[in-house]
Amino acid sequence: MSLRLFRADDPSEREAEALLAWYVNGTLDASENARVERHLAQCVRCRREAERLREVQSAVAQEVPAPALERALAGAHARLDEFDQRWRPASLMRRLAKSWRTAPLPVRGALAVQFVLIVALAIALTFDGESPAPYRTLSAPSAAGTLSVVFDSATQEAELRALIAGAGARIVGGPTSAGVYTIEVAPGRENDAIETLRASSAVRFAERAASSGL
Amino acid sequence: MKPDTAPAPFSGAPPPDEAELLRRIALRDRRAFDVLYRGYFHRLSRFLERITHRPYLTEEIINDTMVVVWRKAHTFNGTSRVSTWIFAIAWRKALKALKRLGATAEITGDETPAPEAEEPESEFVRREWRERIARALATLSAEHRAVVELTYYHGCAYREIAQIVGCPVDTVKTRMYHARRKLKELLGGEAEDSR
Repeated sequence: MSLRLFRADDPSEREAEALLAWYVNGTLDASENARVERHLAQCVRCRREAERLREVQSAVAQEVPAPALERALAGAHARLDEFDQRWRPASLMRRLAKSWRTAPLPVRGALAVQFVLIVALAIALTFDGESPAPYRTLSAPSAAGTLSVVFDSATQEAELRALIAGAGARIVGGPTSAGVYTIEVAPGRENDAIETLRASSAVRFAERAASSGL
Repeated sequence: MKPDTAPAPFSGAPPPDEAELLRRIALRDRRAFDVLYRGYFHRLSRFLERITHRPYLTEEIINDTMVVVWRKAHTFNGTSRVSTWIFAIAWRKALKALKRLGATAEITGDETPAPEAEEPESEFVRREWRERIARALATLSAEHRAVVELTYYHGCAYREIAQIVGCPVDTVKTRMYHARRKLKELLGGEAEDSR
């Protein structure tokens, strides 16, 4: 059987046969190479096959005409230019603009609607971010006549009300988790109210609520 | 043992550090690109001509390959040799080109030139034999031919071939086995076996 390449029942022959081409081209690792050589030493058939493969190898080695290098390289340069051009930012914008101009009307319509929706969503999100928070910090901007007050934690409810009433104010918010009350006085009466409140030992902090006033 | 005429791209350290060239190419260095291009031109053209059997396609596929090298140089991670990486790109580009043509890479007719009249007889015989092998190889599929070509001409180890054509090493061995059997069939008389 001249077409059969190896005896299936001999593992060393099977391995040598499978690796023979790379034994011939000299790229096996050391242990593979040693195993193949051991097998070749005892197998005439495989030695002959290795010889044959060497012939095939040298036949394959004949040169084929190559295209002209310089011309091909010039062609490659042109393609690199094209690629680099295409990926420059200015060019990207131009291409986008061109795609817009050449897009069919329904596509442009859909894109326009999408664009409007995105802008609307962005605006909605932005305004939502600036809407009044459910809590007020000490420095949050506020309307004139509004004060922030913090009382000593030992202050009784009745004393607290009396102090606020004495300052000519009324509670409009609070207390926050930090114990801040927002109170309101007649515009222009802020400083008097603050002074009155600060005079009491039960008041820890009294200030205009408007940060701009600080 | 390699034939004297064949370059040995897969063995030894090439003079310009190819990984360094790729690093420079990733930074858009055209001179580095030119060095690499010149260094690979003949190997790629040979490989691609043998895979596609369409010389008119060779230049185009080389440039397809080298444009990818230009674009993707930054993705080379050094886990394989530069040559393995580039040949793998070339292989994919060659398959793509063949697919585009709807071709199975079979040879058409006899393209081999007639030998010179005044040749010495031994040279004539040798040449005849080479032509026969070339024709036999040409009837193999692109996959089988790639394994034969990368082994015998480019001196690749089977593991490198597996990386280039993107298949398991056992598949490479199987393809070589089938290619050899096919060659034996086609070369007939020369493959006499003493069993």
